[in-house]
Amino acid sequence: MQLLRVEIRDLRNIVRADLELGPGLNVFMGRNAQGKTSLLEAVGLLARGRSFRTETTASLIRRGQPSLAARGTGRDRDSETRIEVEVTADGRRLRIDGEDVSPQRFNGRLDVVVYATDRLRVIRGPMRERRQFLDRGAGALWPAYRQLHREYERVVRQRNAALESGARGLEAWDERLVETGAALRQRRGHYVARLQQALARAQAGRGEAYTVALTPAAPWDSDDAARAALAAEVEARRSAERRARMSLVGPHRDAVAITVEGQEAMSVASSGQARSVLLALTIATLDIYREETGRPAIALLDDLDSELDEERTTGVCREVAARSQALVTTAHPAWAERLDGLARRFHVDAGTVAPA
Amino acid sequence: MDYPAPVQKLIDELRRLPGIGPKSAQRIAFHLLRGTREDAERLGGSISRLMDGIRLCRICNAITDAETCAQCTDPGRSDRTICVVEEPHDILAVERTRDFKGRYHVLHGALSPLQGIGPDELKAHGLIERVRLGGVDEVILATSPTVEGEATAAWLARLLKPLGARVTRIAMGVPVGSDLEWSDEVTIAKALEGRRDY
Ligand SMILES: [Zn+2]
Repeated sequence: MQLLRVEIRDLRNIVRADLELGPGLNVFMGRNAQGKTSLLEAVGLLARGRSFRTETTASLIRRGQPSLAARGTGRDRDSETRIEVEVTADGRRLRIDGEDVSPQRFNGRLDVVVYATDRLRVIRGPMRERRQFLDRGAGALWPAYRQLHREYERVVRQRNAALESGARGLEAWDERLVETGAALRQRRGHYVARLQQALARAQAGRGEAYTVALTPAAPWDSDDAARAALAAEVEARRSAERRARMSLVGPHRDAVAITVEGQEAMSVASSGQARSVLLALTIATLDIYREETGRPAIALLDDLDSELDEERTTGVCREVAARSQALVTTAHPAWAERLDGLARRFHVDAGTVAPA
Repeated sequence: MDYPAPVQKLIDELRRLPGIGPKSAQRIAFHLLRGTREDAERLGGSISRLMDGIRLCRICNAITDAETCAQCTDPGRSDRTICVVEEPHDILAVERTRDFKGRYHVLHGALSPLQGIGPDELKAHGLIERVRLGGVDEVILATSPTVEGEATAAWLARLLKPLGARVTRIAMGVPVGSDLEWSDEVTIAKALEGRRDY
């Protein structure tokens, strides 16, 4: 879906905003803490019904107000749709064309891919962040992936409880761990292969080689081979698992390596490089989304130019604009002013937004 | 404000029932207060007589008021097929089809270590004995399509297969009579996974 218009009421420090968005880049310029990120957050809210920055959606409501609302008017192929999220202290209401709908019906109308400073954890944080990055990306594309991931996490919790209690019946949980774990590894492996392809394709414009890979390497040639491999790992770690009283093998412990020129990004990448890798992954995610669904996701790029040189920043802008609609925030408008023709620009000041 | 002790006590008891929250408990208590003494006594009587003469079927663990349940004693049913379910009310669901003419076995739960339910907490011993004695061709595992139900099915299959019976699992998928268009993606994905040759 392409967003034509976004209306926001009482979200963080935004009292009211009404934006006519362009089909390509939309750059929001302003000093820090003026509400730029809140605009992206509003679009994230329209996509997923919740914020990408906080778990407690109600904390987005502007101080002293009973509720917030975000409304988006979008075009999908030929038809126009109005999507709306209203949040109160008690909960939220999701609407499509004025009609209340369930989260299942609401989600998926609009999809976003987010780049923000706190997402640098994907590159430099603990392994769990990288696994989560893959599971979130693949989960946005395939409902069955989301379901399988939930099921697998439940199996691990049940199996850990079985290991903890030392009671009989562990075999049943071994079997489920192998069954769901191998299936998740296969799906995750296919997603990583797609990411890897997209990263390689975009390398020419960037110069540096970035890769992403799983250990153990996935996918296997067949689902049976994936099951046999995981069953062998479970068998090999049996006594260690009994001692540790928790599940030590499976996709919840697999390693995800992101490399820059053949070296692990976590240990070698400078801040600027880490941002560059994360942006490359963001663009790769946009590519896969489009290949898989036939329509673009919207890119939300917060503080895009922080720690990036101007050349790389405008390079990224061109790459993103060639792929999808994007909302970009920056505290340094100089480079944005040179993007003439490519971008629609807005000034953000003390919670108000105006076209530049 | 606190309610008088008998009212509060009733509300507390009601709240322990499945699906009843504090608001519903309060509503039910005040509904009873507004009614006649006879209404309240009739309800109280049926609750207090609930356990009188009720027990688990000696063979299948279904709920019955006799030594063995109606399904286990019905001469028109075959001993060759046993349908295994988690809860007694699951029998009613299968019975409504009027298509199943075998016997049942109720486990009274599913494996769930998080809730302290392991193999010893399930009533599966009688099932193993029934199959071991022979004369059973097929055991249908009709536990729920949840993580716990699947683990329970996997565990039973492992125990039953060496005894020579055929062990089958009920199919999961798109509800019959509904449009594919209106089924959720996860259900359709499961149905695709469980597809069969034509
Ligand atoms: Zn019986």
